[in-house]
Amino acid sequence: MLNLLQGISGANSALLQDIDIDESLQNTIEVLGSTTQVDRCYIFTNIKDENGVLKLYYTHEWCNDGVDVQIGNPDLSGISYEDLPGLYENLVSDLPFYGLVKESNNPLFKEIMESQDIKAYLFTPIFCAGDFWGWIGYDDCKNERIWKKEEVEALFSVARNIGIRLQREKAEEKFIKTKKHFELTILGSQQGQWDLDLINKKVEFSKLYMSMLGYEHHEFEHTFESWESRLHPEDHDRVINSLQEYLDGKTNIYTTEFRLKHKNGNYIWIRGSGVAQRDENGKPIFMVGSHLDITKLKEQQAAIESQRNDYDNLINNLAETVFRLNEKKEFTFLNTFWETISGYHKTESLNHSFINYILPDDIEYANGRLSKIKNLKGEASIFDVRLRQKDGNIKWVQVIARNTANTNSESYAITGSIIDINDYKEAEYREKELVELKTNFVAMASHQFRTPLTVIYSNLELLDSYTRKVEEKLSGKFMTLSQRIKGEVNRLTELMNNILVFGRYNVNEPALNSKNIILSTLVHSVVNNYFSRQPDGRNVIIKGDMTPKEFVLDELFFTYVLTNILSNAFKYSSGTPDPELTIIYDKDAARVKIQDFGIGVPKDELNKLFNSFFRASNTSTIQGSGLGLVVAKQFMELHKGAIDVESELGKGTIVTLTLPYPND
Amino acid sequence: MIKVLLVEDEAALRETLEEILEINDFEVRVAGSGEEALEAINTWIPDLIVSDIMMPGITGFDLIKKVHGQPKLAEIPFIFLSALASREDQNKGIDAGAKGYITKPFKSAELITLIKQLTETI
Repeated sequence: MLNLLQGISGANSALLQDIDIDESLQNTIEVLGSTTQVDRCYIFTNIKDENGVLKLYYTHEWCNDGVDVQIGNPDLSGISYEDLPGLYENLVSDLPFYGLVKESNNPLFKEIMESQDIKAYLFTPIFCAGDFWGWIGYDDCKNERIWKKEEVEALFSVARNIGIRLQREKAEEKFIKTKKHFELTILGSQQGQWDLDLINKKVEFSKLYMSMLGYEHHEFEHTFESWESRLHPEDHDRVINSLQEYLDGKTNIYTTEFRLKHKNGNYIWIRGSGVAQRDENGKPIFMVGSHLDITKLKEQQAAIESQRNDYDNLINNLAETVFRLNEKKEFTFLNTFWETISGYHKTESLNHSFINYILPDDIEYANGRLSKIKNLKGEASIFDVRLRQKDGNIKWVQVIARNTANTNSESYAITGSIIDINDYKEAEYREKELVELKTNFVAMASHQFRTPLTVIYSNLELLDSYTRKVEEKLSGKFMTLSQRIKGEVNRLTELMNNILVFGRYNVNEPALNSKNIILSTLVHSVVNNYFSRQPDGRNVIIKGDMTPKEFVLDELFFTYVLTNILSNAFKYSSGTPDPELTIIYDKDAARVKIQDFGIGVPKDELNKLFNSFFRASNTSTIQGSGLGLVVAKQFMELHKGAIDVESELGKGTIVTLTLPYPND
Repeated sequence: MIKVLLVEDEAALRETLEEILEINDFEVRVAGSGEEALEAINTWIPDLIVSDIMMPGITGFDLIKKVHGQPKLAEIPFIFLSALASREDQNKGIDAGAKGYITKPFKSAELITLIKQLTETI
């Protein structure tokens, strides 16, 4: 037994030799065979075939002198365990299998063993990392050896040691595989590679690693210190700590990013990672790693970051609030201008409803407008509301908001901006007040003028009636003077009327009181009511298309325009043929042309006709306010129509009123 | 002779019109206000009333209501003389029961003709 134990010790030494595993196994069975004084000691290795069937292969052998060598015997390789019932079951259960051949119940087993002259046998299984790897066999060809229990146990332990040795071998294989993978990865991704021998304190950097830093192979000092000295001062401690923690086993992964000094003095960004090989105690003995130049990546990141900063700066420097609301109308984003407009810091308002900041009077309106945005397929909703600022003041703002296109239709968001329009609104209000004041003044003044004008006019009439009783020589003179005064009173009255209409129009801009009106009927009634009893006996000749067609018109306004143009046509054409009015239904619009054959308008003054208080140079002897055409033009434009004037001095004038058809 | 009551707060116009009406052979009484007009009617019933609308105190509209409110005076025709020249104002005057609405300034012939038309049956 002592002999056996010595043999086992020798076998273990053989196993621990740092040599090729097959060589190591061969040495081990040689020690075991000679120590146990068997005739043959060997190893069967299990290999699964392509069909997944586990088979036996005779891989290692030691033979005593005079015993036939069996290695290479094809009959001993590729045997299926299925053909050897009982063997597999025993061994896979981590139990030894031993006995005398003559006592075996298995005919095939018996035949195989007897063909080799085997009389006694012992098989001990080898397990590697929990897997049934194979077994060691001990054959006796001369003696019918009965194995003692303690002998079996001792040999059984050797098989275990073989398993451990195999396990380490497997791990090393895995490591080599990893290393190869690394090499491939490095090759593929232009990474520099380094090896760190922790026992001999040696470090080796790959060619690519050195070229990454701008060096030739011979220029670079292959020491850990030379690498360490290249670390950016800001990164040094962090990287060294990270590496140390990994080596100490405090962390499972070593991967970090840092800057390394290039030959040219610049720093390049590196993403480094590595794997350590450890001994049985977990002490690292070797480490291999890679360094990837991520300077470009970092530059990209920096560019993105700087873009983001630029964007943030842009957003925050806008002189308007930029916001985003969730479906509950709560702020999910606000730029810094929000504080300027509302008095609240953005952090105070985030996650609070926009509605909370709106003046109570405007809440219903704002709520409605915001809710409708959902249906506005990305179109902006623009509305003015009053904000209640933190200090209690009220500020007019304009909200421009739109639905943010969201692929998830379940929820939606509103993005937009809020503009300070307080000054504008205040100015608008003041302007409105001023206009109202002006108009009221105009209305009041024009009313106040009427009574004195009436008094003047009536007294002139009285004067006229008394003049008739005065002697003829004087009465003629009186009548001339009276007529002159009456003419001026009429002129004042006309001016007053136009100012009144003009003033009212300016205030109540959309004061259109439109109705469906038949154009030809209106034209006839205006002509009959106002122009059928001209002092000089002339009339308006109505021509053109008399089809009764309806137009949407403000009767009062359009009547004003017609009477204005027609009275001009008479006024400036004294002693010439009757003015003509022609109704034309063109494809695009209806046109009313009013033509006179009077004095016309000087060519260079045509474009001034629509200026307030302008009067053509050839009209000084004819009364006029210089407002009639201005008002007419505005009324036509209010009807979405137009007014155009063609004229030739001394030949006459054509004024064309254009009216759109109702459906246009 | 047709009896006309002229109600006008503006003295100059009142006196001028009074004279014009007299020249045109009307029997004229004048009142400087709505109140004076109502007082005058108590003792002298006119065939027609010519009245301003905008007057301090009782306006033309108040006056026509009060006059037409009395059964024996309900048929007296009214002519308003007004500085309110717009169509709406004219319609308001007609709606209030006036038979005529003349905007200032006007030609006296216009007023005389209208008075004559409205009192033809007399």
